[in-house]
Amino acid sequence: MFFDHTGDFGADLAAPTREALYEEVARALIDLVTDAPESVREAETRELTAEGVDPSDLLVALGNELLFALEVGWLAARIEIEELDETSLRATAHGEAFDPERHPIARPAKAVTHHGAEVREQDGGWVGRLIFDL
Amino acid sequence: MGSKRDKRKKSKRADEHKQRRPAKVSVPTMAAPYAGRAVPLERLDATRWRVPKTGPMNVDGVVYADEALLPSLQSDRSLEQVANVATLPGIVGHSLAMPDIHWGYGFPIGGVAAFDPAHGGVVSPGGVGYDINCGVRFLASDLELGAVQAKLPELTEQLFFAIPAGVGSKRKDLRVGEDDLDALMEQGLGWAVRQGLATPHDRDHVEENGRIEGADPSQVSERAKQRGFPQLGTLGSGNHFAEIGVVEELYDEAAGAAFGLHAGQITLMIHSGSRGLGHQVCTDSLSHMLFASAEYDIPLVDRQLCCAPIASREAKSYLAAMAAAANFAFVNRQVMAHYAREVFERLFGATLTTVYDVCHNIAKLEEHPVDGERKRLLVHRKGATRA
Repeated sequence: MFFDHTGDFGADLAAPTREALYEEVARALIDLVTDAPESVREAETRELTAEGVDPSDLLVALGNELLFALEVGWLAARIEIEELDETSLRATAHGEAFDPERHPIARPAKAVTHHGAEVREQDGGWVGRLIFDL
Repeated sequence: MGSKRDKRKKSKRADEHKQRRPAKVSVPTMAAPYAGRAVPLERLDATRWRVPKTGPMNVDGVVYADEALLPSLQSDRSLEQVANVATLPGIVGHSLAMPDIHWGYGFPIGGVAAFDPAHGGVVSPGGVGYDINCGVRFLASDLELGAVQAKLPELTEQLFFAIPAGVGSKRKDLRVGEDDLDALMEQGLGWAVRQGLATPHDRDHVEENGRIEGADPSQVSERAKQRGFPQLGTLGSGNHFAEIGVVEELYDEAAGAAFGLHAGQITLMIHSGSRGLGHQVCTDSLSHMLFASAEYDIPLVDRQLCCAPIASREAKSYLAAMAAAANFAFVNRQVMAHYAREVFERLFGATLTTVYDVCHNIAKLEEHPVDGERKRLLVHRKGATRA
C-alpha cells in the first residue's frame, strides 16, 4: 500500500514472515516505478546481497540494491530471500534486462530514504515502511 | 541449473556471506522536540517567525514567511523538521526555513543550517539531499518573442534532442570517455572550457565558477560512476525541466540591464542536477553516516539526519565526494546549455548567454559574521540558494 509524501512515495509493507517482508520490497519497487509490473519477466536470476546496521537499515539497503540494478539496466520482478539475519541478507532475484519499449517507467525513484524506515513484528506478522525519493 | 558445480558455487558464496556478516550497531536515537504536538510559531516581524527552542534543540528555528503562507506551512510536517535540524551538534544561529519550505525527509526542503567546525559542528548528507548540486542555469538569447513564434514547434523538437529527458535517456553526440569522468569531477567547468563545451563567460557566470573546491573523485564509488556516467548531459525526470521563456516585465530595470535582460527577450532555463552519480554518493554516504552517528555518539531524532563531525574522516570523505558530484552537476547543466546553444544558432543564428547558474542542494564552507566575529561555517542548503 502506498501513501503520499511530498515529492516522494511511501510504501507500507506487510507479510506473514520476516523473510516475506523483505521480499515485498522488490514488489513495492516494481509497483512504484512501472504501471505495468506484469511486463517484467522472470527470464534470468541474479544473486543479491545487502547489509545494514540493523533490520530497518537493511530494508533500506535492499531497496537501494534493487534500485541500483534498475539504474544500470536490470529489473527484478521478484526476489527470494535465501539467508536473512538482523544486519545482512542474501537473495535470488528473478527478472530481466530493462527494456524501455516494454517497461514503461512511470515514477522513476532516485533512492530509498532512511526517513521513517522501519521493520517490526505486529499481530503475529511483520510490517515495514519505506519512503522512496522520486 | 542445479548441477553439482552450481551448488558448490552457491554454498561457497553462502559461506563467504556468513563470514562477512556485520555486527549489529546501535544507532543512538532520541524523541523529536515537537513529536506528536503542534509546533508553535511566535511572530518576530512581518516576515519572520520563531520556532522556540525546546528539549534537545540547540537553537531556535526561524521561518521566513508572511501571513498568507502560514496555512501551507502548517499543512505538512515541515515545521517539525525545522525543529529537528536544530538538534544537530554545532548548529550556529538558527535552523532556517525559506518561504517555500515543504516536508522532506530529515531536513525540510527549503531548509538552511550552518555548522561551526570549531564547536563540534557536523556535516549531514541528508541536509544536502540526494540530488547533489541540483540547480538552475538561466540563459538569455538575443531574440525577441516575435522572431521565434513561427518556429516554436521546431525549436521545441530540436531542444528535445539537445536536452535528453526521462528515464534511460542518453546522449549520442557527447564524445566524453570514462577517463574524462575523474577530470570533470575534479575540475568542473574548467574541464568543460578546455573541451570546448563551455566559454570562459559561462564559467565566470556560474556559482563558484563551476567548481567546488576539495573534490576527490577517488571518494566517489564505482557504483556512483557507473550510474552517473551514461547520464552526463541529460535532464532527468521528476521536477527537472528545460523551459523556453520570455521576459514579460522587469521589476527592477537597472538590475535587469546589469544582467543583460529586457522585456520581450527569449530565455532558456534548465533545472537539473548530478543525476544518478549524486544520488548514489548520497546513498553510499548515508550508510557510512549511520555508523558514524553511533561511533561519535550523536543521538538522532530522524535517521535521515545522520551525520559526523566536520573534522572526522567520514565527513571529509563525504565532502570530497559531494564536491565531485557537485562539479559533475555543473558540467551536466553546461553540456545541455552547450547543445541548446547550437540549436539557437542553427535555427535563428542567435546566441544564448549564461545569465547565472546557482545550486540549491549543497554544503559549502563560507565566512559569516557570528556575534561580531567572522567565522568559517559549513552551510547546508537543501532546496535553497545563496542570496
